[in-house]
Amino acid sequence: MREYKKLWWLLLAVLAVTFAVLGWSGVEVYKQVPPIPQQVVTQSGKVLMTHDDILDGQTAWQSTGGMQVGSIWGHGAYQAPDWTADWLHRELLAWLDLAARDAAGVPFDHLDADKQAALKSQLKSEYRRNTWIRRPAWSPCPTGARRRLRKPRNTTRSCTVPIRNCARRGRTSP
Amino acid sequence: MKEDTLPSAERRQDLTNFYFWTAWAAATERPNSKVTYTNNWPHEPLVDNHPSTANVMWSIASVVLLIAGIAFLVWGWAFLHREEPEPVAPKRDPLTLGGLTPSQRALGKYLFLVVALFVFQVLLGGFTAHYTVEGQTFYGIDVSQWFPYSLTRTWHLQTALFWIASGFLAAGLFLAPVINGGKDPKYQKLGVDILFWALIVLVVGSYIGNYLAIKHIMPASLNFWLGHQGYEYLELGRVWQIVKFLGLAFWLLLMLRGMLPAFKKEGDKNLLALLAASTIAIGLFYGTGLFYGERTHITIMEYWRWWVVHLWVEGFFEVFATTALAFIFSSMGLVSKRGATVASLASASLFMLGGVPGTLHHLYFAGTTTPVMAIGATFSALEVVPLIVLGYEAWENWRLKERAPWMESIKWPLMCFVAVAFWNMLGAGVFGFMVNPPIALYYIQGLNTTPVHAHAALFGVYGFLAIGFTLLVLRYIVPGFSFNEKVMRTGFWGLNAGLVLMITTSLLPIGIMQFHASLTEGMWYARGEEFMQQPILQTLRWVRTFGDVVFIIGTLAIFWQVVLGVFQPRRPAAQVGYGATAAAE
Repeated sequence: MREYKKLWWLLLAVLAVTFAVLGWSGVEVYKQVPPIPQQVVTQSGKVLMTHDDILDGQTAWQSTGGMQVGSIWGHGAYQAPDWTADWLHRELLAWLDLAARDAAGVPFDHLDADKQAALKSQLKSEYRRNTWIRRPAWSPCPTGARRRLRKPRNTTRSCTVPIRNCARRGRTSP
Repeated sequence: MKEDTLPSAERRQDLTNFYFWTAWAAATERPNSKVTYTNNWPHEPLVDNHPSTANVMWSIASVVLLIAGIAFLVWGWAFLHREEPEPVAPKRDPLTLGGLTPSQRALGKYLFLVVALFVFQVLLGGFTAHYTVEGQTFYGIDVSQWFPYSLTRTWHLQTALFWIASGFLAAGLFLAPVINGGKDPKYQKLGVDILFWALIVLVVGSYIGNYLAIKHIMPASLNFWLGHQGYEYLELGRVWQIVKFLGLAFWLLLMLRGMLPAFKKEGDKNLLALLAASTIAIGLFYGTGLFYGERTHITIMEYWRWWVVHLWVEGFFEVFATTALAFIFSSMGLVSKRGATVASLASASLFMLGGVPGTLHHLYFAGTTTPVMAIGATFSALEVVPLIVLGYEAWENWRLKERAPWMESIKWPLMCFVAVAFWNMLGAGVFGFMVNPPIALYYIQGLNTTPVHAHAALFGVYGFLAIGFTLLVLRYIVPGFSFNEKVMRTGFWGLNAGLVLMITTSLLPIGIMQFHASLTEGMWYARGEEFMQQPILQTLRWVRTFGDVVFIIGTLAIFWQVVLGVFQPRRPAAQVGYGATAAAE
């Protein structure tokens, strides 16, 4: 019987520690979620979409069967693309092409290797740079960012910015 | 995919907003960090999305930990394990001595439901796999307008959960009166019947909801509640999810009514306590799936979704399965109760140690930070440790066949339990670890390597376990029942061979080729049309048919065996071989 007692305590200790770890991670997950911006704007200030638009998109996605056709962040079905990876790749190619046309008036493919490399390097910094601005609802937004105090859903995420100059120009439904 | 998957143009526009946002999070660095919100996933050289430093370091750490874990387990086992003296097996099977209770006799319909849903699920699986070859048609017939891929895959997964769960429920309900000293608690049979019909309502109702949702007949506002949540393994509408939770709670009640009186009796009740605890955990932990809503942030949704899916399969189900089998074998007088209790308690600690924080290995790239990835990688490596040494358990189960002459009558359930251990080692252990280190998952998340693991582990382990439970209960609730050797051989070996063929001739080769593509070009390419529609991959998807056919034959054989048992005309008592059971008839 004494052996049981030790094993029971061991099990209880394991459960206490492991659920503490899982719980702590949950706090981390909640605190560090990728922000859904209150709004996404172009550099010229045009609003492309709002927080609610993105969540409306999430429900639209659910209604197609969501993870049962294609995947998001790798989670879901293996048939049809990973929508995240596929979207990102298409967007990047579109950005390069638009940037090439802006700079040289030709499609990206027609540029020489040096110019291509220069644009690719610009692409990296444009995309990796975080232009999301986290502000309390009441404080003014910095220059360049659009102010949006209408109905802040969530007190800390009232205004935001991005977004790359030309990437969203040719946006169409897939 | 069917034409016009999302009919409303406005909703299609919204959909792209969501896709855009997930891509934004995947390419944008976290504040004060050099990695993106998704830990640099997906692999995309154009924006320097490569595995992060932490990814590589924790991957190596997880491999080292796995080896250390196995080493320490073997040492611990060698030094601490004491061989219990084996009890002398009783002359007659103790489980046949008490006579059947009305609630046990009412379980036949559960067994039929298990195999009927199993057949449905397997046929749906073959049908769904066929879409990967022909796109929208089934041998030329355009079926995608009514039963598109998204719907059949939903049903394929949901049905798997339903039949496996039904097998578990039946095993539990069979044990409840046994634990209660061979008699039913009051109204137990009524409870068993109610639970069965509730299960039918749940299955039919949630499937109709799925159909109407995918067909977009259901208004969008009801979709989440009655139609399709869109989240893998929890596709059923929220209302149906609540019904399922209540059903599990009701099952828990039926179980506890059998268990609680037994605690008042004399004797060693530690094994019973562990069984009760795992039953309670299975019942209640499904509730965590209610902690998110339709518009909950997807990262937070993922956290709770995996609480349900992961904690069930790699935590409480493991403990329930181990303990229930230990309980059954010790009730049969084949293993010492002390040995069974010690082994169950120790393995429960081992399973939970890796299993609980291991949940986070599903969240490496789902919008979480590096510590979450680190915890997931380390603990989930430990998850694999007990699985690798399951050969011993398999051998012990295998050996039980020879312990007593009457064990011959449950040879096939025992074979299923041996298969459980085998696939737990290969499907959950080896194939699970294949996709587990962050560096591996970084490149192969969402490729065909995942269904390799999913089929080998979910069917291999829990499928065989549910079949084993079903056959075991069948043997006991049908007096004088004996398995048809030919049918069972076809069934058992058909399922095993079919699974091996499906994995080795199709899924794994495709997965490895995709891995190569993902590594060299990027995730988008490994999943893209240009790569996936090459002739060689098309052929490999076709080849899957062979394994699938073998598997389907096995499924039908198991179905037939259970039908033979459940619907066989009850013979008069005098002809029944097992005297004691016959007396109860």
